[in-house]
Amino acid sequence: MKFRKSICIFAAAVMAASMLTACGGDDKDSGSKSADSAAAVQADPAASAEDFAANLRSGITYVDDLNTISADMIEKLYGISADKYSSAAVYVGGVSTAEEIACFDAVDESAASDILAACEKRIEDLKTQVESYNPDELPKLNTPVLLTKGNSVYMCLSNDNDKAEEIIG
Amino acid sequence: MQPEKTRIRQKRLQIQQGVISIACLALIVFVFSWLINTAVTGRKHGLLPASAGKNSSSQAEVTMKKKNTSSAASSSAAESKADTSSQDNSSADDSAAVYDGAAMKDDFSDACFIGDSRTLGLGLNCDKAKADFYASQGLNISSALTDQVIELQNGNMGTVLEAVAQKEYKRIFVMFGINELGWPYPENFVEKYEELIEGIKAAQPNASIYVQSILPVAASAVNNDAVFTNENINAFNAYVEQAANETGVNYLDINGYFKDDSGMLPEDAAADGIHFVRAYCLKWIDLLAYLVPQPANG
Repeated sequence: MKFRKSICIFAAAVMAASMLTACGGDDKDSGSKSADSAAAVQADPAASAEDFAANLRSGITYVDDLNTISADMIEKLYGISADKYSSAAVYVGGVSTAEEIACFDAVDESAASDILAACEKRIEDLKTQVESYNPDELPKLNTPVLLTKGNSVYMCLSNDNDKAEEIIG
Repeated sequence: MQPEKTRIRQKRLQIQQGVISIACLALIVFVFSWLINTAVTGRKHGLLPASAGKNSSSQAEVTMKKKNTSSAASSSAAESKADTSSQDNSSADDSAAVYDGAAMKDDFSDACFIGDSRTLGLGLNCDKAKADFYASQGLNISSALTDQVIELQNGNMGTVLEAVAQKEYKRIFVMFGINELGWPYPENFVEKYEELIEGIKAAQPNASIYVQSILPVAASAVNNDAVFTNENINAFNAYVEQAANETGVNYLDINGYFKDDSGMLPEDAAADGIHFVRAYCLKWIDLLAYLVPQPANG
């Protein structure tokens, strides 16, 4: 009798443990992970432009396949040299859309102003590119998310400006 | 009577306990089997792990086959390389293509690229900051001669030919044709292509000019426009080759490298079936670095 009782208790414990483990796994895999991560980045004063860019990449659904580019390519595309920022990440697609993410932590106020101007120029360049060839993409460029917080500059060209602003905070 | 009832109750109790014990044992066995299975296969919630998906995708990428090489690169060096890689591809579908990684040794600082939105996408995604890309969305072989869509070094806007004359290049890669697929008069396409090539030759008399065949499209590209078919592209590539031959420049037949077994660009190669995603831009630049290596004195 005692042996059977022990088996039953052990089985119940295993069952409970496996259910708890499964629940933990579900939480990690759910869509709330990116929301939690975005909230954590917003709340973290040490979060960098790269963190914000990564959250903008993972927290919004894009049509195109967006990937980061190197510092040399950032300078070539935006005209922003690496000495103007302490952290930066730019995600570009394959030209089939105007989707793009660019986040910078400028080294000072003057650099932030230059970076903001460079982002505005990039948006105007993209408008020129798509207006006759791919006009469906113009709404993303006519109402872009382009925000500054202190010396940080955040740009997100997507179909979900509300979500982008929510992530940037 | 009373002891008889008690005995029956005890027996019933024993049976119930036995059933519960067996159920508990079965449950324990099931849970442990499931845990072992999860640990060994890495499966979770019935889905394949992300790495498996990536593997299959990269395998799809390396099974690209080059089509018949009779019209491959007309320069002797490029032609020889094209033939070699064709053989290697056909014999080693499961291994990486021979040109994979070739661009790592080539910064293309001696090169410029001229073309439409596909070349623009290459410039964004191939990480060759020292190369110049004179390309624009919607540009075609006619507007390339006249439209001021390229930002010049002095900040003004200029044509492709004005841009290409700004400094000396050793390798010039050209690709047009995807925006011209609906043109009713192919001879006009050839004529304009030859005019552009002659203009480049005049601006860069010492450069080697490589005219690339039009890249294939995925089956979904036809949703954008009925002209975006690989049959149409194959027909126009004959005109591209004609323009290259008649002007005496190199023709790079790279179209077949990007087709899958069904003769199409794989769907995962381009978000819209036309413009390459990064993985395929990297294959494209690798292929060019392999077929036309940077000159020794770079």
